[in-house]
Amino acid sequence: MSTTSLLLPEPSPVPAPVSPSVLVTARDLTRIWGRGAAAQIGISDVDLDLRRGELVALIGPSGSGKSTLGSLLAGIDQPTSGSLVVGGARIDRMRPDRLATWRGEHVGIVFQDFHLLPTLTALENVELAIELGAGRVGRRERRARARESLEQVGLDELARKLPAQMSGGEQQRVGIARAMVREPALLVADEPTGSLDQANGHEVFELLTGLAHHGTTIVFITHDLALANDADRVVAMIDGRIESITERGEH
Amino acid sequence: MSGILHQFRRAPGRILASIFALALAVGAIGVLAVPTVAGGTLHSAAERDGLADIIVATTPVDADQIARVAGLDGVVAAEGEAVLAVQTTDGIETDLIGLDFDGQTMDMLELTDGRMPADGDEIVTSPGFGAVGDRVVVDDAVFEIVGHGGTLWWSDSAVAYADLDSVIARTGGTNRLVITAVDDGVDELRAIADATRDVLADSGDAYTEFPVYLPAGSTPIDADIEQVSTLIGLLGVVAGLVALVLLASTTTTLITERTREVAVMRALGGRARPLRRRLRRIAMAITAVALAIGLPLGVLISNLIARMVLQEFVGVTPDLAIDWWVLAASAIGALVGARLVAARAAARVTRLPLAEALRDREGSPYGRSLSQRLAARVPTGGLFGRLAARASIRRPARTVAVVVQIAAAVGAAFLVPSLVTSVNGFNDATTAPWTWESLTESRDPGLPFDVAALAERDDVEVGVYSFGEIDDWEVDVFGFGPDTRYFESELESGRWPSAGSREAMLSAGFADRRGHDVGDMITIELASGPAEYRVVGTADDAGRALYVDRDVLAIDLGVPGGANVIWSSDPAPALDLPVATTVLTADEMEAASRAGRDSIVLVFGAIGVIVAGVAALAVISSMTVSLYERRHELAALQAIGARRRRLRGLLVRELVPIGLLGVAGGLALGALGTRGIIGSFETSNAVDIGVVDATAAIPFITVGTLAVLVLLAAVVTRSVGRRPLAVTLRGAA
Repeated sequence: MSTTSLLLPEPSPVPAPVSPSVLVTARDLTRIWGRGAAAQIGISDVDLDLRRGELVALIGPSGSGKSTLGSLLAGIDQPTSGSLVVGGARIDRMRPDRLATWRGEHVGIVFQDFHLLPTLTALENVELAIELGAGRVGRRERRARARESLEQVGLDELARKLPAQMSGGEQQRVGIARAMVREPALLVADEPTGSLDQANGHEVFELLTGLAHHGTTIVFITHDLALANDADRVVAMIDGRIESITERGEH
Repeated sequence: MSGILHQFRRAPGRILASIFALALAVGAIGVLAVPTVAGGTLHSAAERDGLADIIVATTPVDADQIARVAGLDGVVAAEGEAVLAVQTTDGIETDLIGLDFDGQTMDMLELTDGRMPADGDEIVTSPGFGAVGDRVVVDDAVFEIVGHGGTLWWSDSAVAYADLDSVIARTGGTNRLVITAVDDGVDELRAIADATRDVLADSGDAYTEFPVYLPAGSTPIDADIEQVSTLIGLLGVVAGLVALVLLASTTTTLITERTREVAVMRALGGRARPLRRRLRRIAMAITAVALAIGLPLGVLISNLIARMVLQEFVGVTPDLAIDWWVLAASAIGALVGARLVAARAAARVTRLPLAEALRDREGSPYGRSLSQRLAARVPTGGLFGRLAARASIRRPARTVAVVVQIAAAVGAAFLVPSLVTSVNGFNDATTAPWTWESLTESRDPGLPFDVAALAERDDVEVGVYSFGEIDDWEVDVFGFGPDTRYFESELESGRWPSAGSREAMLSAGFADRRGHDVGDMITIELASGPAEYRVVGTADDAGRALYVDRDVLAIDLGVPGGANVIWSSDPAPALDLPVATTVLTADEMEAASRAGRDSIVLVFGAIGVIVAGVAALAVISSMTVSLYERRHELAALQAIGARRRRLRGLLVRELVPIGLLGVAGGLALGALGTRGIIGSFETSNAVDIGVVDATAAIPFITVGTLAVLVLLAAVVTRSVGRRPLAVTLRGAA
């Protein structure tokens, strides 16, 4: 132990991004729920770098920690220890409100259960994401951008439908439109095809692939190995740890 | 039982909040028991004390006359008591009550400590008069306090009780007659009182005050208790209404939130009927637990308020009492209500299309009804405004329930000050015609003042004040000298009575309600018997009074040239009078009136606070449950970037219109309630009281209600953020 370490707290092991192309840097990322004997480990000592514009598939059996890692990357949960830097922001230390603002500005999230606001129409759901995003956007522009986003997912005709009036696949496409309308740097999709049939699942995956081509880093959590094989990298998890990281072509 | 334990483990905070709120609501219904508890105490005290059926002050009479009265038909017993107005050396004005401690059967003295007087120089006093063993000098005689106690009749006064003979030695005879009748119906008692008057008249004696009749085991303040009961009953009904709404919303929520769970059971083959039964049982079990807490709480609340009422208005401290009817009705009402609501909610949950129920966590997809779809077509306001508006439309029953709960709280909060302002207005109107600075009253019964002796004084005016009955209604009777200077009432119709005539002016409200017009002859029952007057005018005085010529009234009362009150423009007029008197200044009367109002405010304020508190709890409970149901929605909002400030803003937008609706409804409810209560008082008292709405309270109530709702939004928003979003969104409840 050095003299310095006796006088100063040990610096947190947060390396700067290895290169400008790296968007996400996770080091020793650990998430534990509960304490003592009742403690439940979500993930443990995860190290991971994600590059800008890449499509990463997170795979693993149930309980392997992939959804936990996805939640941490999306900023809807915070680690018990370790560091997490996204786009230069140390999000593991952010207070809830600051984190909410950060999410609004930099992250898009697609949920397995869609989580659309049930009382808002498809268009309004997408508009809401713009409203909560960075900067003030006028009502007309907001509406135009939301329509454009819905067009991209092929739902412009259902803009005035409520979630309860749409099928699961349609709802998930609205969820994607909502996530991508802010053109986020990072998009985390937690089993977005889990509630969909094969055809709808492929459609959703194609949409996400298209987004990655536009520079958005996509983290795609799935059980579907066929879809995962089309990702740039596949991160396999087991028992809360990263078992392997496979680049495209090595699959 | 395992069902409720399972439910409790799922959401202990919510279940406890529901149980507590429901228990408090059931407890608040306990205010309905207050009249019974209070009345029961009074009647048991009346029975214990041997309260007479007829009580009347007389000129001093001897034992023979009392024996003749006791021998009248229908009389069980007649006894004499002696009452002497005295003053201690400390300047305390009191009455020395002479009782036959050994032989009496009525007005039994109940000791709280010490012993009964054994000698003529020993007294028992009300508590606070002095300690046992103290010596008190009363009108130059020394008495030793040997005990504390009292009788129901004198319970609201600080008096001293002494041996009958020692008081008779000063009064010259018994001057208070108490009679128990075989049949205590009103007509029988009046007949006995008339016969007694005749017996006394045979020997030149008379009543000096109007007799008090206590028919059918009633007590002197039964009428007051009845009026107080009307108020309490109304507030109890409000509490009951709130309790029902709360019960309905809690039960519905407890069942509805299990929609998905029930759907899974149905999908696995569970039959609807057993599932419905199970859901009903859970609701019933929670209601039963709430009752187990709420019923004892109701007993406590009713006894506390009855104690406040009796101590404030009667000076009696009641024992613990229980109104089993209210208790049973609360329990049955809550259980039946819970059963009905649970059955409806359970039926709805088990009839939802299975696929839909399995998909929707909240069990209430938006867009099913036309109103919801129409609301979605109205893109007015900002996105958060639409979210707020549609959240209210999404669950109309709950929105209405919250509005009703807020209305109940606001109604209670507005009713109490409105009653106070109305009572204040009535008191002001009652005293407004009087312009005197001091009122000197004889403390001895009868008309002991000599009008002629004070006729030359410019600063005083001598008058007669008595009680009488017109159409069986008690009325104040005032006898004024010619050109009275101290009573300046507006005439509603007709004119003032002429000096020396048998003409009378009647309170306008009373005349109107009883159908007496100018020109009518009316008969008034006085202490001395019936007397007839012609109504020549009606006065706008808010009272129930008859105004006549002083000298004519004195003759009717059997004391020509006598009087018993002196009005003066001087707060402390120099008067040399032959009897003990009480001087009341205008300031003192105002202070006494204020003290009376304070008592009313205290009692009804306490009940109002309970009702408003229950309603506020109900609102909080409903809103908390509602927000719990929407936790996924709120978490999703946060996940896409909504800060807590945004969530708070959303909830405020939701709550404020609901709050304003509730405030509007509550103010209307409070105003209607005030009119109902005042109207019932006006009918039951045959007087004009008038409603004065406490409009000054409206801004406070409105701002207070909105502040509570904003605070609620802030608290809920804070609690929403405690759980990691990821956990909430995953639905791990």
